[in-house]
Amino acid sequence: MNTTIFEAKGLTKRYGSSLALQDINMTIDPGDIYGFVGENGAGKTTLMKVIGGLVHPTDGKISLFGKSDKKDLNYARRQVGFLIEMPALYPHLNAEENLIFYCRTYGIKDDHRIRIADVLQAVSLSDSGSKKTSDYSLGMRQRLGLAIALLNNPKFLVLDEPINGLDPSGIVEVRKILEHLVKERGVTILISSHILNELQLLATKFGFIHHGRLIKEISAAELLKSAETRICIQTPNPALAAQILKYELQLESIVITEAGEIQIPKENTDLEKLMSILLQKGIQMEGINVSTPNLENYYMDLIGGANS
Amino acid sequence: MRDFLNGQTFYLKKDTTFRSICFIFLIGSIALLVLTVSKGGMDISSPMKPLSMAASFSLFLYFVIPMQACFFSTEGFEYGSVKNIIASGQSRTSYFMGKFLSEIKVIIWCVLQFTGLFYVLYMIVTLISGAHIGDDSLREDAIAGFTALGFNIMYLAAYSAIVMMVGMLVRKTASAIIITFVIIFGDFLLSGYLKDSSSAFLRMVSDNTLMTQILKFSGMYVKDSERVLLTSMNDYVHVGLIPLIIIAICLTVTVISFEKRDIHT
Repeated sequence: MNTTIFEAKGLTKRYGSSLALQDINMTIDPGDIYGFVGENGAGKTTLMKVIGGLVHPTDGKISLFGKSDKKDLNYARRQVGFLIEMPALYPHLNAEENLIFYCRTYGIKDDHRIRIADVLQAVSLSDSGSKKTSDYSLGMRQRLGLAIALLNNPKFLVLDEPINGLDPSGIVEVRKILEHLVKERGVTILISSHILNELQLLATKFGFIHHGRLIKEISAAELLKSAETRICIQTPNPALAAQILKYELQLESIVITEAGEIQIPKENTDLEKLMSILLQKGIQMEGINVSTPNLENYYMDLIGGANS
Repeated sequence: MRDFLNGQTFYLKKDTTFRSICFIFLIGSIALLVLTVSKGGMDISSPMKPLSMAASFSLFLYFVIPMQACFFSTEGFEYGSVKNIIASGQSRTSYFMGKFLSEIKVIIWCVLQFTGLFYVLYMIVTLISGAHIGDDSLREDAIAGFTALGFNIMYLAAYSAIVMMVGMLVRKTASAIIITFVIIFGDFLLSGYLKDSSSAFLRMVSDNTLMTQILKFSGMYVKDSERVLLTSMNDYVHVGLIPLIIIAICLTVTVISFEKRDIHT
């Protein structure tokens, strides 16, 4: 039976007069890597805290692995690994001792040494296991937080900005770890991040949250189909260049972004002709590139629409 | 719950605050032994006498253990571990009750360490020095010693319940420590200053403070220049009931509040 991993129905959370979550309805199915996208304060962390039982919803309900009663939910949470906000580490203990503490608290019956060695290796911290976590860098702390989340062999991982503070190689490493978990162990993941390019490489489904409302859910395949390829031109005088292109190429949908970049839909536009027109008219070009459909553009368009 | 207690035991073994207070009690029992020996002879009326002597010195446990209880109740919020533990499916009630039970273990360990060490060292010094060990009041000394030991554990548990309630409500170590100071010294002042008040109500308040009961069962309570001891069954019931009521109220308030409030660390 393919039970839904997580489901929210009419989930609402109010802090005083402000609504952190408004009538959220969403499902996460087995094998999904659900990318959660939204600005700071949009409600991503609040939703994750509701899943973890840290925050009580004002209205609506959630289910985990098909369980929605309070007692059953607590039981279901044993199959979930969490990394919410900053990793919870004891600075006076080393990484191994931190992991032993959680092994004992979670009631992990296997040989602790083997399990700890496994998770430390998975997050590439095997060499730093005996180092006090107060001496860890932010990236190492994030990775140890991920190791704690992996300790109980979770079927569902809830990760709140896990690549925060990681260097580029660390980000790639975490992506590989998560891909491995999905492929080899069939782990389902809910992940939020502000590094949208990275999230796009990983997620199979995206949810966009804005001012506490889930404004759009889309699969990775749909995202690629829906967003159009654009020609992006950087020039010192975008207004003049846009006017010329509009007139010469009869283009209606030319956009000048806030950063002063001209964006033209790639479809039915001859790139060579476009460049020769601009050169003939003496328009200086600082750069020209073709942008493939990406999460960042999609998100900005969506939020722009939501704001307007 | 058993797993959680197991985790807390591991934490306490590694906790610098707990290790420090164990060290303080070690030094404390040696210092008190030196003080006792220097003040008078080593002769004792029965082999149980050092036990009842230790009871009268146990007052300083009340200035140390509540501080540790305060740190212990807020550490989950301070380091964020409460977040992982609750998210792993541990209920909030068992989280707090587990913390409280672990603190009881700490109290029992500290009281036994302090009293036991003092007793053993005192007996060793007495035997080495060849001082007289009588057997005149063996029964009385044993009853007084063990009663004080039991009451000390109960009263430290009551103090810890109050302090841990504060810790769980405030959730910030620095603020909780200040309130703990106010509670300990406030109780001490209420017991001492109000005892001779002209107001019957204030005298009643003083009579029922935790510190008054502690001084009574430790044999140190003096009123109107007379030492007041526990004599009747009523006295024992009164002294025994007060901490139990306090523990019950504090645990109930904490569990209800903790169940209702969101956790943000």
